[in-house]
Amino acid sequence: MRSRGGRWLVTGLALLLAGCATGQGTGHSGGKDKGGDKQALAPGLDAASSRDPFPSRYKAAPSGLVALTGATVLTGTGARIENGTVIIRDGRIEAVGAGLPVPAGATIVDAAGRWITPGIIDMHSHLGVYASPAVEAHSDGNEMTDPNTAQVWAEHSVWPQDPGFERALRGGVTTLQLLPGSANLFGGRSVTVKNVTARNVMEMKFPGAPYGLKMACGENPKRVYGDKGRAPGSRMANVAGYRTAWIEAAEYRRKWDAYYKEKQEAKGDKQPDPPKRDLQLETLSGVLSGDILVQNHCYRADEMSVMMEVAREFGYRVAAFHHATEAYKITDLLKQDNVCIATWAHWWGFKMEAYDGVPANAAMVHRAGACAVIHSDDETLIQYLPKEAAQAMAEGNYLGLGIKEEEAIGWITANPAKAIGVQDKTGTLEPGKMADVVVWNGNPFSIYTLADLVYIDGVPQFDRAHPPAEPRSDFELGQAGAEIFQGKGAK
Amino acid sequence: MMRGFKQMLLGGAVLLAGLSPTAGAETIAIQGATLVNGSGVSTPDATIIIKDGIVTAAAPGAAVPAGATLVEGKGKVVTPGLFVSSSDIGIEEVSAVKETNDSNAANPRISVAYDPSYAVNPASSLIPLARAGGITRAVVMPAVAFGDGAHIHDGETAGHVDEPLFQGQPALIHLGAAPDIVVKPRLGVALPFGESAASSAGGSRALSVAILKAALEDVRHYAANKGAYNQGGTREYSLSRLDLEALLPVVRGEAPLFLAVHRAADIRVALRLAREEKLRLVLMGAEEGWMVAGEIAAAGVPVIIKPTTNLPGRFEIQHARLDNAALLEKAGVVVILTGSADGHYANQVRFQAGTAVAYGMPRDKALAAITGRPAALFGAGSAGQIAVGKPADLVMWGGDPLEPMVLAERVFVNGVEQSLKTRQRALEERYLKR
Repeated sequence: MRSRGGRWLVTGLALLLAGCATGQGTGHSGGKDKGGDKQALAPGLDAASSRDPFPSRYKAAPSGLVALTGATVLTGTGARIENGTVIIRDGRIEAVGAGLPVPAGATIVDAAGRWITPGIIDMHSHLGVYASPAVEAHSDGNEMTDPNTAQVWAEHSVWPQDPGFERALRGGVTTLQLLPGSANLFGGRSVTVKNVTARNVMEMKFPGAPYGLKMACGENPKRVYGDKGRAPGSRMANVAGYRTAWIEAAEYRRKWDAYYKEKQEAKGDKQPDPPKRDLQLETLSGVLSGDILVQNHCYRADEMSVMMEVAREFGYRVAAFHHATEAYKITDLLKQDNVCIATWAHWWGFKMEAYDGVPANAAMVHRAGACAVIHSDDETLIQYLPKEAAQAMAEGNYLGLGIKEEEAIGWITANPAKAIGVQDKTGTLEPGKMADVVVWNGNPFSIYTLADLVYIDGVPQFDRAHPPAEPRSDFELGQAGAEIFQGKGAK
Repeated sequence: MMRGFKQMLLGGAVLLAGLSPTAGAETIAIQGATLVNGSGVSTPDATIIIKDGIVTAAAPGAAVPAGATLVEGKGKVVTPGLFVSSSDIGIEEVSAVKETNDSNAANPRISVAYDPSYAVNPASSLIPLARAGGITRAVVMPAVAFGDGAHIHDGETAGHVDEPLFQGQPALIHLGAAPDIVVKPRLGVALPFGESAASSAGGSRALSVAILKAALEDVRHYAANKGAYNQGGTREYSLSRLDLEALLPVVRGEAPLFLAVHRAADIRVALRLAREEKLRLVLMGAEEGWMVAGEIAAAGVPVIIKPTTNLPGRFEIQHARLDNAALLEKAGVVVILTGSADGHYANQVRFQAGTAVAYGMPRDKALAAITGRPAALFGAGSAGQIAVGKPADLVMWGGDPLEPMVLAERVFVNGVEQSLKTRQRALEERYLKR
């Protein structure tokens, strides 16, 4: 396992990266604090020392050298390669191209007649937090006790035994962002995971993925709290709630910055007293410093427009609007602010704010030059994301938008990677990236096509030709079924 | 440049969307298409002639009458109009806006007798979307057997409300643009059986069976003593007069019970109950049906299933799996495929069928399971097939109808060609033009 010193190093690096990204990082690494007052202040009391308290413990098995040959390859970058070869070495993509020479010693997978895509990414899933079976005891996705629960972290609800993970894997899903629900203005932190067998969330956590903050517009918060006779009971109170929280978060951030400055300048035993750590404000201030990405549940065009103004007012960025059924009405605004949208092709009409949902939503956003994503928000739909993307593509092409398969694959690979901040690590088949790869037995957009092989970091996690003898989830292991009704006891 | 591009796009869309319904006398000849009949069997290179809305020929090499409008059918597939066999289409507009949603009826005095056909709105915006997706018939099913995702976790309370055990009488509707779309009301009686029934019966499946048995006994007694009942001279019954009347055709074996049943053990109890009470049965859901497929087949009971259910979302569907449809079919059960009960998603039924094929159901059987088979079960007349001498009720597809990349290009309902305009397409076009 990783040494304590090693973890300090990782934390320091994360801070450094965060600083680069925003230009105004907090700049006081845990390493610097290891001196005299280490005894005085436990890591959990110092916001900067406790940046990654539930770190990824995911370690991929060695992948060796693998060459997938002869396939139609959709790279996720917009390219389509016929007779393509994908070479995987030590868990990374080494090379992708037409008819590449196979390196000596490589395990060859003949993929002639098959298609290869990056691993599918679902950036809106509740697997693990709303696990199957969907009994009350598994309902851990929505902390519906206060409109601001920015202090909760979805990872503390994730049950890795949710059978939905294995079903999603069969659908080619290699990376998921697991989110809290949308009852609250601030629902809490999301967590990004790799779709691997795990005993706890740390063993699934995507190394180096930033956190997201789930926010919600519209009907849900105002219904949930309005029905309880408290704010917010209207959309205008929703917005007042966001603004009030950002003002408090900015003040909190200033307090800590002042403390660190004082501490740096302090001499000898005249150490300053640290401010009291507040988990809710810490998450919000993480958004203001650019370390945490805003993942905003928002359906209507008018509300998304307002939310982009709120972001401007307080100096943060919305990474993505989720559901975004009216994104097609504001494609120019989304493009201008570089905000991704994650939506469906066929869901609409389940509530008033979803009434104007259209099947070509993603296609229209994409063709206008903005970032479109197809997401699931559902334990069944997650298994069929390429088919859902196909519907959006078909309707887009009915409208004359001319969307090609090599573009549409980006809606479920490269674009969600960008929206959740892992685009430098996965989401496309480019040299150096994690070898998250799916080999399909045909065109992935066809209803008949199934995933043959699903690689995560170069390790085959699912092989349809050699299905696992036992279910992955402990819940499904050893449950009596067919042998009762069809075995010797049945007449 | 962008504006020119958009105008070009819109031109194409208008051209496609602008097909007007057949007006007056007209003969259409679709040439060279693959013809799929109600049994799902394909015939390549067929000619389909529709004269004044009536199919006058559907076979390879059929003679094309002079003056017919020729339609290039190469690469196209012509199927009967599709069925969605359990839906709330027509009785809801916005699910969470309860004033627009008649699908949640729960009145203890009118439960069996609840007849949703009176609530059907032919002007609902859900209907054109389904129709543009090739659906020409739907069964408005009051029982909730095929719920799915759409945001139940958004803060709704989980669990069942207090609702009567009986959920009412399904109705067959067509999806043509017309003021009267109810084809056949009161197809039978729908009720849940299993976890949901246990909840409304008082906390046990066994109670729901007792309630059902008592109701059947009351109906028989009522039928034999109607005169006395009207004089107030019978014992008290467990159901209201309206409900007793509505259950009569079921007791007489004239109409089926549509049972939403899931667990293998519950399916066996349902089959036993049907034997004992001499009832006609249709099973809905039947996620664990594959384990008792032989018994279902032997009982001659049809099943309506949603083939994509493959998670243990409830303990009663712990063994749901993607080849349920294929295994039931193989065992000789009459399998009908459907999708979500939410009418907004009626157009997804063909992808449900496609998924069943991907997991082993023969393609012709899967096509029959969304055309000819439901037509036969629900007594839909000439719908669900392409029959010479009958009104055209069919769809010309751009290719394989089970593929999401393929769209319906021409749709006929009851002999009338339909517009493929939808509210969704009107919105898309408005914002492309902007």
